[in-house]
This record gives sequence, C-alpha cells and structure tokens, in this order.
Amino acid sequence: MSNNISVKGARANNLKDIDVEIPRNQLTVITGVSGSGKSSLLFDVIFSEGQRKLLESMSSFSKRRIPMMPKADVTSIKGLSPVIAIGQIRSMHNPRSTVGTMTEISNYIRLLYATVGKAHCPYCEVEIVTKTANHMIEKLERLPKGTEVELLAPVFKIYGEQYEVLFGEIREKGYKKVRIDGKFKDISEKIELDEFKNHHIEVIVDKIIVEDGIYNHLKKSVENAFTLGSGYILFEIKESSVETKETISFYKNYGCSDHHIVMGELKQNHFSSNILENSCRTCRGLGVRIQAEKQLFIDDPEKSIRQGALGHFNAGRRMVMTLSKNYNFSLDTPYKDLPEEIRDMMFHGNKGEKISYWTKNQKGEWYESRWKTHYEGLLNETNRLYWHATRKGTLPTPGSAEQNFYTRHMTERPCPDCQGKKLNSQRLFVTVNGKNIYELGNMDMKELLGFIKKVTFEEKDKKVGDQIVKESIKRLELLIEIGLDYINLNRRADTLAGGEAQRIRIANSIGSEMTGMLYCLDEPTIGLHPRDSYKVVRTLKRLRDLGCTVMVVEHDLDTIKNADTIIEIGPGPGSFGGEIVIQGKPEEIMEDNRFLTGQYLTGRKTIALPSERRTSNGKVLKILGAKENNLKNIDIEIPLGVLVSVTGVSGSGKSSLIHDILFRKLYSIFYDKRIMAGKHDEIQGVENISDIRNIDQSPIGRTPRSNPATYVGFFDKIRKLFKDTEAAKQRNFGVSYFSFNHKNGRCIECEGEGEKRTDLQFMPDIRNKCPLCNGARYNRDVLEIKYRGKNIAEILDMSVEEALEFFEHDNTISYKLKVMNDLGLGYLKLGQSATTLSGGEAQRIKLSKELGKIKRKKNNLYLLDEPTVGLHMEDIQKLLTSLNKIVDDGNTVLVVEHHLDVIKSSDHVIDLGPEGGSEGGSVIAQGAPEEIAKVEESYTGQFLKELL
Amino acid sequence: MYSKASKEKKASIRARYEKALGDYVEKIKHDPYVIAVVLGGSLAYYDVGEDSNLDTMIIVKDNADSATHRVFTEEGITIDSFVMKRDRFRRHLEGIIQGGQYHSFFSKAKILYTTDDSLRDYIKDSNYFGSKDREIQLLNFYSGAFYSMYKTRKFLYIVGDVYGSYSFYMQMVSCLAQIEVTLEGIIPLREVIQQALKLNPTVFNKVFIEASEMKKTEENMTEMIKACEEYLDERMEIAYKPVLDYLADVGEFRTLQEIREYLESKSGQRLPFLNLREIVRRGWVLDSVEEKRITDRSQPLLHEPSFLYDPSMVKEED
Ligand SMILES: Nc1ncnc2c1ncn2[C@@H]1O[C@H](COP(=O)(O)OP(=O)(O)OP(=O)(O)O)[C@@H](O)[C@H]1O
Ligand SMILES: [Mg+2]
Ligand SMILES: [Zn+2]
Ligand SMILES: [Zn+2]
Ligand SMILES: [Zn+2]
Repeated sequence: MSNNISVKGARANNLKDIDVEIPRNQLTVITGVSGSGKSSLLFDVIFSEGQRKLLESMSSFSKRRIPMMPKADVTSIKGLSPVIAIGQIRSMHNPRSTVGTMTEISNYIRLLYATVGKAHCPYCEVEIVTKTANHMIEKLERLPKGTEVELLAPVFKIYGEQYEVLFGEIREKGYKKVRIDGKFKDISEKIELDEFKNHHIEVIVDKIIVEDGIYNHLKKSVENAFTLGSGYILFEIKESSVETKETISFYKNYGCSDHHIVMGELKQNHFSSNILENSCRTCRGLGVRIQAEKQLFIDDPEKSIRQGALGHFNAGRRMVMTLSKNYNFSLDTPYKDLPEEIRDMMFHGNKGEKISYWTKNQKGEWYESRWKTHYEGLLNETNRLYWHATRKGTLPTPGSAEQNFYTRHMTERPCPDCQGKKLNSQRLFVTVNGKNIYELGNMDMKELLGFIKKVTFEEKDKKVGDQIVKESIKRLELLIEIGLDYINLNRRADTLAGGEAQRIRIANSIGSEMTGMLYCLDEPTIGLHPRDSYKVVRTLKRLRDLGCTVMVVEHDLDTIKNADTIIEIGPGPGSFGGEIVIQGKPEEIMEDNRFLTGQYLTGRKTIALPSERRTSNGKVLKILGAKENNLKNIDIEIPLGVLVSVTGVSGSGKSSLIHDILFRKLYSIFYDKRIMAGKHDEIQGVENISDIRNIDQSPIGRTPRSNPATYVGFFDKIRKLFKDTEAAKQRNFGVSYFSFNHKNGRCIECEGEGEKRTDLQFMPDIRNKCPLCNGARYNRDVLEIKYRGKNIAEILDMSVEEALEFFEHDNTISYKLKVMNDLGLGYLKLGQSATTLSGGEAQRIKLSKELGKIKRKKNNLYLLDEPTVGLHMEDIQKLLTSLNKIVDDGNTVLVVEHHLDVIKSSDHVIDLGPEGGSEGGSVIAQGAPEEIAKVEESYTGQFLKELL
Repeated sequence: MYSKASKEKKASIRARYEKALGDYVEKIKHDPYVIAVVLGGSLAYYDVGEDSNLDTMIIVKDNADSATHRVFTEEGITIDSFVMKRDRFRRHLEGIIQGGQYHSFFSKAKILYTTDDSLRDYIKDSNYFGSKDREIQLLNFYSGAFYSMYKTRKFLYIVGDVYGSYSFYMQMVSCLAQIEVTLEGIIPLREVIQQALKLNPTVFNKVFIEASEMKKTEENMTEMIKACEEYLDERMEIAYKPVLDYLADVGEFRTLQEIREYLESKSGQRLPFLNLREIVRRGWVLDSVEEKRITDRSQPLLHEPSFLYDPSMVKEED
C-alpha cells in the first residue's frame, strides 16, 4: 500500500477541485479560518468516501438493507483504510448512556460488585453473605423431614403510589398471600394501610414441606423468590414445626439472623440499571422523572386563550369554558393580561374548589350542568397521564403526535425516589469496601483508580478479580492521561461537552488497540485549559504509534505546532477559501509568510491587547457562600458593565459556579420560580441587571426544520418578499407556502426535510437526498415563484455572505446578515439544518440573534460558555469585537473561557482552581489580567504573564 | 325421589367409576415426576351419569414437560387430565380470577394422591373468595347482565323474535345468579343457578323456573325482564361502589379506560367489559368527552367518554 492517502479533485462545498497527499501513519492537523473548508475536506470528502467504501465491501445481504451512500464529490481517493470519525456533534440522546457505559468501565465495575460485593439486610443493614440457589437448597434439605418452611420475598412500593398498586402487581404475577409487618394477609381482601408509613411487605412465594425429592420445585421457587425480591429471599420455618437443633441453628450464620433474610447470588447484569428488574421502580432506571413545565405550555402570551395562547388548552375544551364561566374571565383577553391568580389556576388547578361544570348539548351550545367538579391544572393533568403511561409501559412511540406533545411540554427533574441513582435500593445495599456502586460512579477518575487499586480478593475470586482490576486500571489511566481525570462514571453522555465526549472516544480507540485505522477528529482540545492541551497531543501520538493515521481539524496552537504534517486551507472563508494554502512539516513552513496560522504561532501576528481596561459601572453582582459540587464555600464579586472571564482547569468548578448557581438562580428570579439553583447562600445585586441571557452551545434546534434563517428570524421577512411577488399573488400563495414546515409548500415525499434518513445501528444515520425534490424541500409549484431571479430553495442555499449581497437593498435582512458575517459566520448556508451545526456555530448564531436585537441601553447579563470553540485566531478577533460592542452598549458579558487571547482581552478575570474535581473549587485570583499574572499559584496567571 | 332400582343402578355406576379411578391413580403413583393427582368434576361433587367422563388435574415436577391437556382411558371410561407443573399450578391457583372456571374445578376438588403435602393448603385456600376479588367480579357480572339485557330487549322489541330474546334472557339469568352467589360471598360454580335458587328462592323461582315454564309471549317476557331489572337495580349501588368511590375520590372526570385501568391495577384482575352506561342513565354520574387519539401516531382527535361523580350532589337529590 502506498504511504499516502491521495485525494484527487475534491470539490465538496467550497473546495476548489483540489488535490492533496496525506501521509499515512502520521498525525496531520488541518487548520484554517472558520468556513475555509477544513471540515469539507476531512469529513465530507475523506471520511464519507471511506465510509462508503467500507459499506460497499460488506456482504450483499447487509447492502440490500442499507441504501447506497452518494459518492463524495471527489474524482478519486487512493490509499484509504477503515475510517472512524470522532466528531463533536452529540449524536447520542440516549439518557441511559453514561461515561461508564461509553468507556466500558461500568461493565468491569459491575463484575466487581457481583464478585466481591457484600450484601446487607434491607431492614437492619447488617452484612449478609450471598448464597447460590444450590447452597440454599442444600441447607433446606438438611432440615428434619416434615419441617414446614415458607419462602418469602421482600418487596417495595413505587414512590408516590398506594400500597394497593403494589398488591395488584403481586397478584398479577400469581401470588396472593403476603406478610405485612409480620402479619399474614390475603391480598384478594381489601387491606387498609397507612400510606405514609414504611411497611415491611413480603410475598409468600411458596410453602415447602421438607421431604426427599423436593429439589426441583425448591429450585424453581428459590428462583421465583429471587426475581420477586430483587435478590433477597426470606426463609421462615413455621412455628408449628418441630423445634430441633437443626431448626434452631438454621438461621445462624445464614443471612440476617434477626430477619431471616439471605441474598441470592448476583451476576454482573444485576447491577445494570438498564435492566428493568434492577432499576429504580419509579424512574425505571433513568434517574430522572419527566415533569410538565409551565413555561413550555405558553405558546404566545400576546394571544388570548381562544387564539391559542396555551396551544390545545383552548376555548373548545369544556374545562376551559368551565373555568372561564366560574371565575369570570374572558377567553379573548390576551394571556399576559389575565390576572395572575387566573393564570396560576390554569397550571396548578383551583385547589379543590367545587365549581359548576359547563358542557355542550347535542347542538353544540354551551350550558351549565348541575354537576360540580374541580380542576387539577394543566401540569398535574399532563404529569398524571404521562406517569401512568410510564408505569404501564405504554409510552407513545418516538416521533408520534402524543410523544411530541410530551417532549414539547415536559422536562427532566431528578427522580424523587432514587435521587438519580437509577438502581433500586436492593442493589445499593451491596457494597465493596463500604461503598455502593452508585458512590463509585460518583468518584472522579483519580479517586476511582485509587479505590480499585486497593480492592483485595479471596483466593477463589483472584483470577476474575485480577482481570477486572487490570482492565479497569488500563481504561482509567487512559482517561486520566487525556485530561479527563475530573470526570466520573455516572456522568450522563448527553451532558458531556463535545470535546469531552470526543476525548473519551479517543481513549476508547486506544484501549481497543486496533491498528491501521484512519481517524478523523474535530477539535479534540475543546474545553481544555491550555495547561492540558498537550495531553491530547500526547494521546493522539499514541494512536499514531499504534499504526493508525490521525487527521485532526484543530485551532489549538499547541496541537498544530506538534503535528507531523500541517495543512492549511484558505485563505479566506466560503468562496474565498477552499484551496490548500500550504502543506508541510511544522519546521519547514513555520516561517513561510503564506502560512497564516504560522504567523500567530511564531508571534509575528497577535491579537492586540486592549489599549486600556474598561472600568465597571460601579455596580456589582455578588455570589455568597457558593457550595455546589466541589465549590469550597466561596464568595465571588462580578463587576458589571465590563467583559469578565471565568477561568480554571477543566473540572475546577466554573460551570458549577456560573451555570448551576448564577444562571439558574437568576433564571428563577427573572423567569421561573421553580428552577432550583445550585447550593449557595445568597446572590446580591440582582437589581443591578435587567435581564439574563445564556448563550450556550446547545443546538438551536434538534431537527432539520430549524436553521440559521429561521432561528435568527429573518426568514419570515424573506417569505413575505416572496408572497408579495406578482407570481405568488396570481396563484394566491400566502406566506405559509414558502415554509418547508407547512404542508402547503413543502415537498410531500420528505415533508420538507430535504432528505430521507436510514437508521444504522452501528454507524451514524445515513441521510440521502430526497429523490422527489432533490433536496430543495419545497414542491414544484412553490419553486416556480422567483424573487429577483431566485426561488426560495436557492435563497436558502446561499451563504450568509452571498445573501448579504443579494439582500443589500433590504435594511432589516441585511442588518441581521451583517451581524452574522461579522461573527465569522459568513460561510454558513441560510438553510443549513440545525442538526449539522457545531456547538460553537450554534452559539455564535445565538449571539448574532442577540446582537441583531440590541437597541436601547440595557443592563443585561450575557453568559457565554467557551465562545472560541471552532474559531481560528482570525475569527477570535471578530468575536472579541462583537463582545466588546455588547459591553459598550452598557451590558455585562461573562465568558467561561480557556482561550488566552480572550482572557487577556477581558477587563476582569476570576480564576478558579487550583486543580479539577475535589482539589478544585477555590478562588485562586480575581482582578484585571495584569493582577492575575502576578499570582504564582494561578496556572492561568502563569500563561497570561507571557502575553501581557 | 329416586326409585330403588335407579338408586342401585347409580351405585353400580359409581363403583365402576371409582374402580377405574383407583387403577388410574395406582399406576401414576409409580411415576416419580408426578407430585399430585386431583379430582374435579362429577365424581368429586356431583352425580356421575353413564356418559360422564372423569376430570383430573395432574401436577408434575418443575423439570418435567407434558402437553396441557391429555386424554386417557381406563376400563372404557374417559379420563380428561390437565397437566401442570407445580410452579404454574401454584401461581395459577393464587392468581386466578376467583369465581372463574378453574375456581369451579378446585372448589370441590379432592386430592387423590400427593407426595407434597403443601399442596393441600393451596387447594384448601383456593376456596377463599376475598372481598376485593368479589368487588371486581361483581362488576364483571353486572356488565355481563347488562349486555344480555340489551340483547334480550333488542330481540323482543326490535327484531320481534321472542325465542331469540328468551335465549339471551337465560344468559342474563345466569349473570343474575352469579351476582346473587357472589354477594353472599360464595364462589359461583358452573351450576350457579342451582346455587342461587337455594340462596334466594323467591326471585330465582320466578325468573328461572317460572320463566322456563311460561308461554313465551312479548307480554310475559316483559314482565320477567322487569323483575330482572328490579333485581339489578336493588344491588347496583353495591356493585358500582368501587367505581363511584374512585370518581368521588378524584372529583374530576376520568375516562372509561382510566377507570378500568385503575381498578385493574389495584386488584391484579381483568375487567374487560366494564359497563358504565347504566349508571349514567340513572343519573349517578355525568358523562362528557375527552379528546383522544386512536393510536399514538394518529392525528385526528376522537371523543372518548369520561365520567364525573359528585357524592354531595347525589345526596341532595335524595
Ligand atoms: N381447562 C380446565 N381446567 C380446569 N378445570 C376445568 C377446565 N375446563 C372445565 N373445568 C371444570 O371442570 C369441571 C368439570 O367439567 P365438565 O364440563 O367436564 O363437567 P362434569 O361435571 O364432568 O359433567 P358431566 O357429568 O357431563 O361429564 C367443571 O367444574 C369445569 O368448570
Ligand atoms: Mg365431565
Ligand atoms: Zn436484618
Ligand atoms: Zn429513580
Ligand atoms: Zn423532498
């Protein structure tokens, strides 16, 4: 095989028919300004062609089930090997996926608990030994013949449910006799219990009279009891039975001698919360409960209820009419003008007050019935129906109308039963060195590594044990090595930052020790402090040394410097880019003037320090006694009216402080009282700001139905321009015809998505262009309408830059486009689907929306998490200009940032640390960058010193 | 009542059956996989006739397999045998809808042979008819009664077929008998009408015996239907109490589906044809509609009946 991957005639997106040779078994970094074509080359050409060839080489059986991928827009690529892309876009929305499952460490930890875990009595927590079914039977068979033994299984009710529901469930499984707090009951009878008391409930699984030949049914019954009792089994020798030496000594050293409970043998999969019988019964192992959320019901507060302010909760509903008649409010008043109590009642109900029910007669006329009712409120109603469906296992299928209703109106809250632990209490009673499996999952990687190293095994478990320890240590060390020491196994995959998820997958790849692979990576250093970015480079080189070819799109200067080969694409964004500017080993090209990044690397070009630091407007926001997560009861002062950076190594507590405490608290004050902020004593100075805006990296939408044009909001204006054309007027096409979300205008085949998706289990979804509209999303009639020579699909296909020229004459549209262009988004297509945008792009789109709105002076507080993600040095300059503009308008901008050029350009810096995890959470320094640089202990300060 | 000759004949038939059964059990005793043989049906609690079969249940070890229903023959007598593993048998017995078919088998069943004495208690306990089970069964029987009542009326007044009407009428009388027996806390057997005749001769002599003997005319039928209606009316409040209690408790509308699922989830028993039309007709509850989709993927909203009950108001009316 040749030593190069040779690409000929790459034309995808803005690439200008380029040829490029990429050396195999090397670390190649592709860099260039945003939108220059880096990702087009690496992902749309090299990766997609590699994936297509891989699929082609598969058996014809699997081929038939997978539609062929379109060939990438390239003449030829030679020298490809199996290709793996590790991108940033969070494709996983599976709430069951965690760092533990992603890294497979959870498998080993589960095995550890199954092997050496110590069980405890669920009633008195005394330690009990686990027994195999055979062991239990043997012991029973040794009792004197004729002894009567009952097998019972302890059971627990679902949180917030009545005991009766538990009894119904038991009955359905085929059991009728239970013991409640020691008393025998028949559950075909009605049983009154204090619902708020914790009763000991045990199901009588079987009665056995010791005799020869009972092995088989005993075994079956022990299995049944094991399943029902989630591992716990209770043996009770009937009192009437003969008391002998054997019966008396039966309980000694056998389970809990007070409660006669033993624990059956647990297997690895008994510790997986994804298996229903192990999971918390309330949340079924999700750790969260889905709950209706008030603000999600308010579609438009300017509208009246009759006009649909609350969506389906409109005047057609009997309950709505009933409330309106009884409480004398009009269904035609705009929602926002309704009295507070009335609005509250819609959501929380009328507290049981009896009101007369209004209904319709046969002719559809309203009348007051003689019946009284009360109203539970929209939130309770939605919760009740949803939770009922969850318990019954009849949740609507994803994508269905009902499911859409729930996802639009409900959000996640920690499960009130297990508080996010996911496993049922029986499993949490099993410990290793005093810790249960959930507690282990909460340890950061370093702590966990220390813990695992200390576990000891008995001789019989030694072989398995050593294997578990070896495999876990290997994986943990890789994660620590790549800079993820602060992360823990319980962390949900869908809460990981793009860079973190990517680094985990890199560590996994090394762990798998596959050689000869081709890796395509997208900015793996995101979210890392400059102190730690070398860790990523180090790991990428290990991957290379395994015999893999590693190709990375990266802006981090350290990574670029350390590459074997650098390729810069450019020179500009969009149509100004798409060419290879320069390629070579770092030392060969570093001084070359064509190498733009090199100018920054060598310091020939820099982002200039601000000529002077702004001073605050004299007002401050104070966070007192911050204690969330690892924060060490700290006080923080944020000066207002300036640009503030919050810094610190990964895991030092930045997000806990800024997101969990500051943002959530302010959000609860300004928007929704029920949002719970992270632990802290008080926030002072809230009166000094007028609003809070969080500009994060979450997607601007989760479907291809939203895009920059719809999100920033000028698409409505464009549709109006189309509606006003002569051709549209003749056909009587309203604005809805120009929306690909509306049935009037959209293509019927793809329903306006422009593509058809095929789910593949083992690879990312394959998306194919819709065969009917060829990706245009609209139907033919609509596409015939032209505005200044272009149809609506052609306009959505324009880049921001092109559109700026096209709409020059229209002030509103061009203003918003200009803001986007200024933020380095000129290369984005107006109609690019939200699902293909990177986190950084999404953030900048949100920022443009904000900037496009700013008019009069306000004291808003803007929060931004790592706005430099995906930005080249050239673009960072543009970002800073925009942030400064916001500040100069009187607002405060607070960024969580690792990029030193942003930090040095801030007016005020708050540095947390010193390390990540339990060793972080303190304030290391606060003040202007110059002051931070003077602080010895501050890593950020040390790096800053060189730049000031 | 019986002649001497017939008595003797009966005794000899019985002896023949008992011998056959004895031989059958004797053979089974040598099978180590069989734990118990239970006799149900005629010989166990009723008279055997010349054409009777024998009904047995054979309980086998959990590691043995067999078809569920086997037919054997002994001395020319057919022996129907239901074969069950011990675990299934046990769970079946505790989980079964009491008052159902199986219950009828075990209520008078006799253990002919067993190696596992714990089974005796299970069979004995299965005669117990718990109050919660009775509640659910009453609702089931009431729904059955109303169903046959509609049919009886339809054939009588709309189709104009008095015999067709009578056949549904008899089904309704069975339901009435089930209600009678259940209210007394007794398990309804297959011979439920005989059971009811003993418990409440006044009503059942009329609706069953008299009805059988009367001339099947529209007028006569109407009278009988009226008697049944009265019977149902008098006991309806007891039967529908679980539904009304639940609705009173929530104080809001609940759909039929929700009411059914609620009652089922608390009892672990099925309630397939819950009928609430009659309590609406009697003005005990108000019905309205909720908008629901057929499948969760459907767009069109259909109207599902829902019900509201307000105990304070019902009292005012009284
Ligand atoms: N599949 C079954 N499993 C258990 N019991 C059953 C089953 N089917 C019917 N039974 C019960 O077994 C008993 C006997 O049923 P069967 O209808 O054969 O009556 P019988 O008393 O033997 O009448 P006959 O004298 O006409 O033979 C009845 O009580 C019936 O409810
Ligand atoms: Mg029979
Ligand atoms: Zn105990
Ligand atoms: Zn839970
Ligand atoms: Zn289409």
